[in-house]
Amino acid sequence: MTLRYLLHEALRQAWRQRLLTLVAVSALGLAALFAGAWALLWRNAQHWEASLGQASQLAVYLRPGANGAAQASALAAAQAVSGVAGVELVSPEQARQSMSADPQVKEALDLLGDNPFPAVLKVRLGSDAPADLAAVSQRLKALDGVEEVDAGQGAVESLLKASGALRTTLLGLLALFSAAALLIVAAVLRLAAWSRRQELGIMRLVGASHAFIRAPFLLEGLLQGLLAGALAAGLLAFTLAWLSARLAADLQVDLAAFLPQGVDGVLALQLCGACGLLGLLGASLGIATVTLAYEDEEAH
Amino acid sequence: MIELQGVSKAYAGDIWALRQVDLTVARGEFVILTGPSGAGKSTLLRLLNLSARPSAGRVLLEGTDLSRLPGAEVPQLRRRMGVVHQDFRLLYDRTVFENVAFAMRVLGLPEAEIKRETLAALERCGLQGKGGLNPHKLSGGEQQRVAVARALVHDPGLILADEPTGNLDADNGWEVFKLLLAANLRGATVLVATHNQNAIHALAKRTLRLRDGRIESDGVPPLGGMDETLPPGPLPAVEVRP
Repeated sequence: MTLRYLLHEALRQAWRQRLLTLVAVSALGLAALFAGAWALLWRNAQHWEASLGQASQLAVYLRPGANGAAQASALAAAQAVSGVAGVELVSPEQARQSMSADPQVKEALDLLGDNPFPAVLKVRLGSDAPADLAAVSQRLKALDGVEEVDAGQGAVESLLKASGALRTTLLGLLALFSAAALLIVAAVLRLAAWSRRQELGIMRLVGASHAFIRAPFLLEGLLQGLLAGALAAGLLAFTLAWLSARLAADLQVDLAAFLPQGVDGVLALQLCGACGLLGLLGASLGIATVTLAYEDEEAH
Repeated sequence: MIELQGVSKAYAGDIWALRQVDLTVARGEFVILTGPSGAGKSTLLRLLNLSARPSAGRVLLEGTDLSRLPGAEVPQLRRRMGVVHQDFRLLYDRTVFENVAFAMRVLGLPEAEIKRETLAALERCGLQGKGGLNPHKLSGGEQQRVAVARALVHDPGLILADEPTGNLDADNGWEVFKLLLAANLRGATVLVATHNQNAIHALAKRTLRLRDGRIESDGVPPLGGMDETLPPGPLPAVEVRP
């Protein structure tokens, strides 16, 4: 049983039933698209989380009127808080000076007369994990002289929640479409086997083993999966490139800033491999019922 | 080589195709199975090529009990046989060459050997130059010779032919019998089920007459004789030259 012969048989069979092959490849391709979208989101979400964690900085506003001693005391207390990597004190004067760089703000501040800015502690976290934000924020808020803590936490949590929900939804859809693709491939190859039952009967008659009979079908399933995976990877890459070009041209938005992880060779290979396995499994299910029927027939 | 010991076969539980059949066929024998439709000829051949299992008794092939042969060993056993059917059972989307080569491919032989043996089998069966044709383009007689070539190409020790001339005219039928005779002369054991009384008498080989699943008679008919109970018909205009 040469690979060349099996490949020839598998391709011949796929071509002979090209409509059914198209259905199977489409089903597998759809599952692959969801798998690809999920993988892209997962990879980019990891990147977002890491970026958010690295960029996490808390602004701790001290009570208005806190004097130098109170500011120094709050600074020391903040530095001692668990999970804090570094603290920088920005006095009301420094804040005013910094904000006055903008002439319009300076004009407004001049009109006000008094310095409206409180002293602020800029706190860097010791961990990259944005999940630590909430805990550290709580600890800082409990310190003496602290009026308010701004962690930008709501936005981070919302973003992570949205990303998590999207990933869960895509995973559910992926499972659903994978199961559907599996059943479709199994049904397609079962139909193919039934339509070739005379040929399979002759194969059995001349002494073909079950492996010899099944191999072209399994190979066909594998090839359908590989093709679907490659098409899905290509479609995803094309869609991302198209979207990126449109966003850059129409809205001057750089998509790569939001989705730095695109479709690369590794993802394409992963998609092809996963779809190939799905195709193989579907083919195995489809042809098993046919060969079992033959075995049953021979046993009587 | 073949031994049937008290073999019975029932379909759907109570339709008996064979009843308590005892039979021995020696290696290299040419045996004809005849009898009316439903007598059990095809069932006997099906038991030998493991398309069916006996309901009772034992079927032995070279000492192997076929009734107890595990399913996984069935393909190996079938590779030692050649089978010919009345309805040719060809693959009409493949060429004549591919149909014959099919039996060799199953054996996993090298491509060069497949090509050589297939061409030789086609030549033996008078199909030289027709390997590239689709079986649809051949006459019935030629199609049956393709089926015979497929059965003979791997030089099997046992050939089972179930009504191989049933769809052919006398001349073409006789051509098929000649091919089976030639294979027998090369050492193969041949079992042929046929209604063709002219051929039975022309061949003058051991003939088993079955009726209602039982062997009614077992012997060699006189050469060239005719069974008077059967409708007369001319002997084929081909000289018997085994």
